[in-house]
Amino acid sequence: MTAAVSVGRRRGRRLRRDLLWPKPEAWAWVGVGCAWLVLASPAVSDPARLLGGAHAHAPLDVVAHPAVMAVAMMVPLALPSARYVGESSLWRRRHRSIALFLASYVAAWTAAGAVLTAVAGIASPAPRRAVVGVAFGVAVAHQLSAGQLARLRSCQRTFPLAPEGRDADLDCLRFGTEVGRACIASCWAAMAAATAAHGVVAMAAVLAISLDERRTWRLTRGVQVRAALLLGLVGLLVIAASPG
Amino acid sequence: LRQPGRANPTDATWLDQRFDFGSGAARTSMRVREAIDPTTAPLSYRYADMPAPAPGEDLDLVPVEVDAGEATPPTPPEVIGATNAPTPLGAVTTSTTVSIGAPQGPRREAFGEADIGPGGTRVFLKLEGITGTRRGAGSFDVFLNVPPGADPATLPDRRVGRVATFGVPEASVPGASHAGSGISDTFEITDIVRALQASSGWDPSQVRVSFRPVPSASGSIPEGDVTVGRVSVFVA
Repeated sequence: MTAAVSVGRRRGRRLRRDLLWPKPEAWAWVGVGCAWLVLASPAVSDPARLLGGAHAHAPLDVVAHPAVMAVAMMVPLALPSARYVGESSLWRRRHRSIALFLASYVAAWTAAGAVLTAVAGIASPAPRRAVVGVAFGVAVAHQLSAGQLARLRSCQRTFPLAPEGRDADLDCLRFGTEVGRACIASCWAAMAAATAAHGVVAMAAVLAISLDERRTWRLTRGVQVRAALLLGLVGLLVIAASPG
Repeated sequence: LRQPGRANPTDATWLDQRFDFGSGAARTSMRVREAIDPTTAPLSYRYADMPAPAPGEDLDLVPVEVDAGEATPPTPPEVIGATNAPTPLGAVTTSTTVSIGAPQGPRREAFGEADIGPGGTRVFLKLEGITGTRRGAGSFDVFLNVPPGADPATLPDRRVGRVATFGVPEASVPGASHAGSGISDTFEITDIVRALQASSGWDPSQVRVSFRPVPSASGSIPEGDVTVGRVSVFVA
């Protein structure tokens, strides 16, 4: 028993040293994983839901569903900023600062997602292919629009965080809101397309495209066009897989 | 990278990234992959801690301070103090005080007088969010623990380094190339901290950082509106 506890403590120390010291935001992946499990759970009883389904949300889901989507799809995009927050904070405050930053970031995205979900609900009587086609068309046009590179670059901003006390908490919340707002400006159309598709596969594809787009620090027109083409391709695949 | 356990990226986008230097006839263009091994052309120089050149090799020798601490994997940097508000820099020396404390992470037992230095804890001063809108703002020399009222120029051993404001206006405006957060500078202050500790000039609860404007060649101090968003002290 004592030996098992000792081994457990050693593993805990190694986890902290190898993972949480250099990557203090790593714990957020647990939340991201849980959010994906929630999104994928309807497909357990009905595998067709992986590709998409009807937009019938209970009133509470209009907030809960976007919140889960924000954690699953948008938190991974904000993790570099979350690491910056952790590394810029006093050691004892690192995880608290990251949590506050992510909370306000997710709150901003949840508000935007609730609007997108409500709009998708209003559009649900229309043929699914038409709704998905329009949503992905808008996403491609937004991706190619002038100013998209500047909007993406804005997601990489930093913020002079106060080190301690209420000022530090407020700065973390403010920074999360700012990054959230910048991210909404650059990603709202892609998120709307994922919301319209309403399927885990399309959501995962949109996340992969967004992560790929941010993989390089040098944002170029080529990066922008590649993301637009991939979004268009996902849209076509979702339309092809949708019932008329 | 010449650090144990770390390696340069192999991504072709990074390796083929091209940078232009200079202007006119002196304009040079180089790719990242051409600068990875400094012993090969076009750089053709060798750091003092690199293996000796083979017979017949004729390379410039660049002295480098060998740090025994690099032999062990570095611990993550830890903030031990930072300013609460931005520091505007002006035409006269500006000072700000950073409240600091002992490290609480991996270096928590290695911040005593005997622990700082080669092979031990290293201390850094980071200036973040240096922003401004006016072109032509000059540079600033940065000093540590200059007593109030004293002229930093009389304490050259406390000079940390120089902040150049070149590129600050461009980096302060959001756009496709910049997020608008300004620039950042980091200086290693380990030796200065050791010297201050040895001369009892080190206060473990606070650090005073002074910014002295550097006169131009004509002796004038250029006008500017440069602000340092945050001054922080790190250990690693």
